Amino acid sequence: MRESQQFKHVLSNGIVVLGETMPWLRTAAFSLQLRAGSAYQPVGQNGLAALTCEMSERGCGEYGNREFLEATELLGAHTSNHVATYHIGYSGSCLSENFGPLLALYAQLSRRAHLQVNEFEPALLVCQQELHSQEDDLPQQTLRLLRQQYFGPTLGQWPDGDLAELPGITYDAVSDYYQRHYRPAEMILSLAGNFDWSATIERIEALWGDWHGGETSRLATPPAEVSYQHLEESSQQTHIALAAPSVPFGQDDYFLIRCAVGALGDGMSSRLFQEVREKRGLCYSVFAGIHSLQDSACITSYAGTTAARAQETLDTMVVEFARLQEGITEEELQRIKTQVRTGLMAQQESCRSRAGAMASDWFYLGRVRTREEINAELNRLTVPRVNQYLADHPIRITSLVTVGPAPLELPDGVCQL
Amino acid sequence: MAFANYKLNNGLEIVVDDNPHCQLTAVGYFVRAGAVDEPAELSGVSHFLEHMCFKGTPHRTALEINQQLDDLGANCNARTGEESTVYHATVLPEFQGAIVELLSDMMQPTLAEEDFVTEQQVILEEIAMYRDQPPYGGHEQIMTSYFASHPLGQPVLGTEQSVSAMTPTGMAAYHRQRYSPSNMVLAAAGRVDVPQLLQDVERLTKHWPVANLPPRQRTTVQGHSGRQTLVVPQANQHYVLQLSPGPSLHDPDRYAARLAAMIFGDDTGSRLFWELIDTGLADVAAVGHYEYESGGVLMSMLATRPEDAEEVWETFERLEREFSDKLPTERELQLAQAKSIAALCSANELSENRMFDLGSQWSTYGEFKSVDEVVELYRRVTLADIRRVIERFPTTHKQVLWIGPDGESCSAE
Repeated sequence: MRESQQFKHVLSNGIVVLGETMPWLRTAAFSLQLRAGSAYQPVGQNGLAALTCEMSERGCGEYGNREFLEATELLGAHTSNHVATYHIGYSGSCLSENFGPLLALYAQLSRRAHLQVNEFEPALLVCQQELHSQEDDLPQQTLRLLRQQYFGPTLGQWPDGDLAELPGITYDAVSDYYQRHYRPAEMILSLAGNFDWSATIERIEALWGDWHGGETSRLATPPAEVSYQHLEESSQQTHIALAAPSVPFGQDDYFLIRCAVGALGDGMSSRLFQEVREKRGLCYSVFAGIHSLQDSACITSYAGTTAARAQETLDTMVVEFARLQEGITEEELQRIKTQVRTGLMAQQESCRSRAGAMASDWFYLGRVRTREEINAELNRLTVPRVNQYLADHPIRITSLVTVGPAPLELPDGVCQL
Repeated sequence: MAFANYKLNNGLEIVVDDNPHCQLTAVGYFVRAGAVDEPAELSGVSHFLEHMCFKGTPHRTALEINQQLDDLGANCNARTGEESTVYHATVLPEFQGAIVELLSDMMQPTLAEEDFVTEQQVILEEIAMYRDQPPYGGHEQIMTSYFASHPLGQPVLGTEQSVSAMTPTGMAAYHRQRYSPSNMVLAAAGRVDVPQLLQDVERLTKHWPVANLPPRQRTTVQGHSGRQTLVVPQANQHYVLQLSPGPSLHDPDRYAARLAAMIFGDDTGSRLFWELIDTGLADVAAVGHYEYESGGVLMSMLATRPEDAEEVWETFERLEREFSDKLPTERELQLAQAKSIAALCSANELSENRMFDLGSQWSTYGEFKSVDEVVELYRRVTLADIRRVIERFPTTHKQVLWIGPDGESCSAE
């Protein structure tokens, strides 16, 4: 079997192109990241990034709105866009023979979006529709409130926007945001799958090489406030989300805490799943994970349960958070290592997820980790190291959000200074 | 790629799609047990039983099952539908033996009283959870209204009453019937050690009790038309669900019908998309196919703000009427074919998808078409075929369910 190869090329305008060839596939994928995410929006304009993203897809270069979509569909491309905290991202995959033309379409979109005035109204409605629909998704609403509460008014903004702020956003603001943030200086373009690296780089130079501008900026994170917030809803279930400070991805201790959180709430044998769902039958869904930004991160955990059993669910979750300080077991650590290794191999089957992982590595770490490097990192993780870390850094739950018919009582030590 | 099929003495069929380029091994048991097989008093038993297979076997406790699945890094799950229950896992190739042993063990659950009672609560939570998510609560209601007394009208989750009233004894009897090896298929795809697989499965399943199961009756579907309203006070959006006739899993017109549905209501680039989504009038406007052995349905779903609900509905109905007059063009067909074919090829790169495709095909048809063969079937569809399916499956005969925060604004005719 032909092996994969990794490549990197930086254009003179600052665009970083990352590549990994996977010659056993029939398809290729790209991930294009522009530094235009929700954290860069001016205060009171949450939705500007989402609206700009929506407008960008409504015609560019020689294509009108409909022509652009049809052109991607004729290439059989599977495309999507995504507004996140730091980036607006576009990704796409298609059969290898159509990969070059697909990149050409997205070069037009990133550089020459029409932003037609007559598309503004429908684009605004699309963004509003998306937010309206999320109102019926109470688990998501709960996690959204937690995110805002924990990460504060800039970084904690919900990337899809805010229904109250959207109507105040003008066409000129969108046009200005596009001009300012769709720039090459911090753009990341990652490519994975079956494609020819040198021919593709030549094409990329031709498509993006004569584009200029942009500046680098790093956003500071304010310290999280300690608080409990309850949103009243006449739902059958009470939704519980809580957060505790953690170490961001890219810092030395990240993998130590990642292992601990894996033992706590990742998978069916995790402590939360076992204690809350399996032993007590309190809920259908319960999990914990790490939400990491550039300079800050938190452990988040969610459970949804019928209102009458919500207090017992919260109390059980809190007990499991506290018990983590006593450490994890060898079996738990091995399990997490196997999960990470399986995830790595799964990326080798999907060029879409590989392209996404490469772009993320570059943004957070400034390099793309090889499989060997990750395996070496895994081998260095030991139970004594994880447990020493947990003993030295007790986990404190500082943020709690509940959505449901009635608020809950705060267990000892939760949301207290 | 190497496809092969085998049949053990106990009737269990094994199908394999071995591909050395894949990095993972995916395996799944496909059981012909679903809502259509349930007597009314056991409504929801297939799904409840699926949960119980994770709750303990003669060799393992629930905790041990979950722990071992996680130890193997298994991306494991199960799903129950109208006509089947599937248990599947994807692992590193080195864990093939262990995962096959574990999944096989899970197919013979203990059904202990204590676990049964705890799991009953989890299922009741699951029913409550879906009821908090408006369109899902409506799904079972409209299926019941459309299919009425036909077995496809039975809710997969069951009802609060049927689940509360269920007993381990009733479930055990159902299990003895439906989980007979002759009623199951084991599919494996990705990187597979075939000789090892055959040897393991033979050994692991030879003690399984064999039941004499009559073949499933295929009663013809008579869809029931009508209009109903479901009031969900906490809903912020309005939703419309609609069912109309579609081809069954055995209908040769299903490829043309899928393309026609795509032209009309795919979530991007379709007629619905340009009038309802691109304009920002609706949040969701999409049409999907549900194909079953005894019949099929076209399910349309709309979601929008209450103030736009009427306009969205009128536009939808107009586009529906127009679809049989302004027939699809060559260009529309070409776009739908390009999308379908690329999606198929791309999905086929993952071991897990290959396993699903293989297992579903084999347990439905007893044969396997490779991705290239299926691509060819899509390529061959002509505009004449599209016209024929539009005539064969008229949307005039339909069941409509409005879901919204109040009954009044839902009653647009």
